[in-house]
Amino acid sequence: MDSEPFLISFELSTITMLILGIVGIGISYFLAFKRSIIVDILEPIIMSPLVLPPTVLGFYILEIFGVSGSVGKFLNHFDLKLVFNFWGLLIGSIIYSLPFSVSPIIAGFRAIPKSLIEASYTLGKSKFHTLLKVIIPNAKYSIISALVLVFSHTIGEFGVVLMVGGDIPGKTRTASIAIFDYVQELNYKDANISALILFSIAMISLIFLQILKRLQER
Amino acid sequence: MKKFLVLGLLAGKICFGATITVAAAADLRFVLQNLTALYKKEYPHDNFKFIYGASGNFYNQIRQGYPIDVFMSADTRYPELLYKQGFAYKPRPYAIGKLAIYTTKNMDISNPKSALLKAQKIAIANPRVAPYGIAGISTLHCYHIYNQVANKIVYGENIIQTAQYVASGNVPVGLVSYSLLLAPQLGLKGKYELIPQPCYKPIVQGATVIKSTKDEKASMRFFNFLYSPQAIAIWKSFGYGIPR
Repeated sequence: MDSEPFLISFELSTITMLILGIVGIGISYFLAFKRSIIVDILEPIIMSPLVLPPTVLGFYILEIFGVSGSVGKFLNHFDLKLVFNFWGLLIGSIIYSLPFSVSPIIAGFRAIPKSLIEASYTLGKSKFHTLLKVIIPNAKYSIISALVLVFSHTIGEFGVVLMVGGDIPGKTRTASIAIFDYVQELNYKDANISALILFSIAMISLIFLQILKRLQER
Repeated sequence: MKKFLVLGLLAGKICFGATITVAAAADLRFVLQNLTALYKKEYPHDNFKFIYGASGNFYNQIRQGYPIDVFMSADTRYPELLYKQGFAYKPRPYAIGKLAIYTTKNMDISNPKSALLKAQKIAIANPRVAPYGIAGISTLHCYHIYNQVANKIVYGENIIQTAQYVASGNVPVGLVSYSLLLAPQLGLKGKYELIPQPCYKPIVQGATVIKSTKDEKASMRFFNFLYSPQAIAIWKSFGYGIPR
């Protein structure tokens, strides 16, 4: 069996997780404590990848970032390409997994007693200081859950990475796509091994999330 | 430092040959293994990356900037379109594919028409993107049974997925490329019968080098090899006809 698809999957998932950790905290901080029409509009947009078919996302990403897309055309002048390579996978994964980062973190932020945050302000701490020293530590379980969810969700991606990445061996063929290819070639042995590895990763992360939940409840 | 790195990479390229990325129609999945083994005897330093799929999908992807070197289609239309649109160099047909009926069940397929009528499901490649799917559908029309069997058709994304539906026993019978069945992986699993020729247009398959190739010389080297006498022998051994 080829280990390359797994390396690509792990690389993609790790980078997506790190980026979405930071982006998720930023967006959640912006959304969690506000009550305005902007929040009511932004939240559904951010959550939309949860319910959108991956083909819709893949199609739009190709339309926008492909060589004939609006952004893609512009980037072409600088010889930059964002589809059919690792960058394309990364853009797709970040958009696709965004709700898995934002949703638990927002919930975590909103569960923090308001008095705690206000106490920090009253004691003269800045907003940023409060975020770093009060809000994030109090939502640490939610943030860790978000990271685990993003990692495993990115590993499990199929439709978006297939459309935007194009199944290029050694470049954009992720583990989930490799299984699809193995089955087509009737290579059930490698399909089995790969599937078992992905299944184990999924189970481990879900069990880990369960443990986190118990820890949080204590 | 950077200069040395670039020099090193260039030197590496000269010493170790090129990596040629080929997007190939799915009917070529097994024949290309033999073909490249032969190619590598002559040019041991060149390496390959193969992506198999439906020709129509590749056509769309190439227009979106798909970073491949050589495109081997299952028809001549897609390469010709790419050539006319300026994405590819002049294409050339390399082989003529044939269609076969395939089953892994204990059923009589010596008369394809009655076998297709009897079967509970029929696997055919998606004709919108797979030329072998077009041949499959026109076979059903040729037998005047399309309307009777239309709701039994299961569409594969490409021709090897279609064959896999049958090989796995999930679909009793399929119309697939003959070349796939001449490979032991699929052929030994069941039996097959060629569909008589006048029922579908000959599946003339063309190849082309994509203009955005990183290594035009190596791509052309492989492209030209497809028409060499050694390659023609391989095409024939997998049941393909040779275009004049």
